[in-house]
Amino acid sequence: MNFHLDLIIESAPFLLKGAGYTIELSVGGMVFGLILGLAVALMRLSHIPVLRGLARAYVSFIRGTPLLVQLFIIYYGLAEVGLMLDPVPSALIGFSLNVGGYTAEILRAAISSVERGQSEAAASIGMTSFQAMVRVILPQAARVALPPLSNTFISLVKDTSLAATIQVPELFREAQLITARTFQIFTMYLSAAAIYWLLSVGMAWAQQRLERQASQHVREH
Amino acid sequence: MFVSRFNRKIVGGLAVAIGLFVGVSAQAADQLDKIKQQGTLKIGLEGTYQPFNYQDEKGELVGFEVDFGKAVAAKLGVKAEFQPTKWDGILAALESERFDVVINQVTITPERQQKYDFSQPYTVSGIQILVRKGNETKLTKPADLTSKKVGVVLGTYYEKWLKTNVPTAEVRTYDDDATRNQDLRVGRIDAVINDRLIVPALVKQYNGDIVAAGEPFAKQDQGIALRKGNPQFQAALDKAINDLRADGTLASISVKWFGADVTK
Repeated sequence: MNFHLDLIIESAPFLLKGAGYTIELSVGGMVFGLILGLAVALMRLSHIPVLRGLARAYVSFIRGTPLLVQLFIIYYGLAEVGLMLDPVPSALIGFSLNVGGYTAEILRAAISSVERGQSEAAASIGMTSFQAMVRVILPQAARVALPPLSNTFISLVKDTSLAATIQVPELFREAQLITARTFQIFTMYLSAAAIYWLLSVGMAWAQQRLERQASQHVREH
Repeated sequence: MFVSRFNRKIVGGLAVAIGLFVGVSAQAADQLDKIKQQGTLKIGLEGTYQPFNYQDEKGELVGFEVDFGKAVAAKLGVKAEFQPTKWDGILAALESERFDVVINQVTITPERQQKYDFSQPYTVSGIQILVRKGNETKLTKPADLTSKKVGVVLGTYYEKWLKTNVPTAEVRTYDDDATRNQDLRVGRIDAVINDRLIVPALVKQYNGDIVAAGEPFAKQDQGIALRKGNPQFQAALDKAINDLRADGTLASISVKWFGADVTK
């Protein structure tokens, strides 16, 4: 078997440094993507046709094109027309836009799933529609949205490996660099996979906890 | 059928073990017999490395190494079959037997020789610094690359050479030539180092935006890479190259693509 424990130990600092970028891109992509996604979801639910159309076009483009192509457009394509972004910002923008497209649909569906009567009830006790959204609708929508959202986020953790192709020295790139030097393909990629897996397991665990919290008020016995 | 969790683990483990065993035992016979038997020489190359191997307007693979690969296969009495693969996975794919050889300007280095065998060299070259037009007098030798951003393709001889010989340079690694050249062109990096043999094609491709700077340095030999443990196959490749030298084929292919004989 071509499995080298000494190489894993020797390359651990590099892989962990790469994993730092992986985490940074995942967390950044999630936070900005979620904010963007919420904005787009509200645009899609708005009464203004232009906003609805824009939101629909955005979601359609993001979901209809490969993430790798989106990253190449942002990093290599925009540079051609004079907008030269560094690797990490390019990746963050790419992942945020991508996550934004997917979470917009999830949040739109979740918000729509909250009964109409809820906002009517909120209005009847004098809440503005903003207050109703923040205090009544979104907390209930969150419970519905959590499982599909965490799916998206776990995908994102793994998709950050695509940033290797636009010069971000993240986990997969570090593994590639060490492989290029040592030719220990099996050992290096298996090590990288193990770290991605750990990160995803951590995400899944956090999701479970959040889900339990969000559904405390409706827990079945 | 009911399979308990425990049993499933055992079955899974067995499947992996059998897979590994089959993988190992398949390497026993010399590759030459297998190639003669299958009637094709499977050749791994990038297919994006002008003028060595690339797709022409019709989508057909052409280039110096495509002609060379066909000629070598013909000498072995088989047909050449090309399998375009990205550089960073090309040696891994050779190892996992996706193809029989890699013919992609693989520079022969001691590190690679520990893991792979090589035929005798079929091109002799050197490293060339490439820069944006206007900078050709600023970065003319390796020492000039200190604290400059220098682009190389991941896992190439040039990556290794740069890290070893100019550790003060800021190395940027790319997946292929096109993305690396693009970053040189738009100014994200200051220079690129590569095989001097690509220079004429590259300058033409980028309409003179990218140009050579200074003279080539660090002589390098490129050979056909094959898996270790195939002495007959290696000897057959060497003999094929000798024959191609003797009958003038190698020189004429070289002149066709480079305008000069770069094979010795």
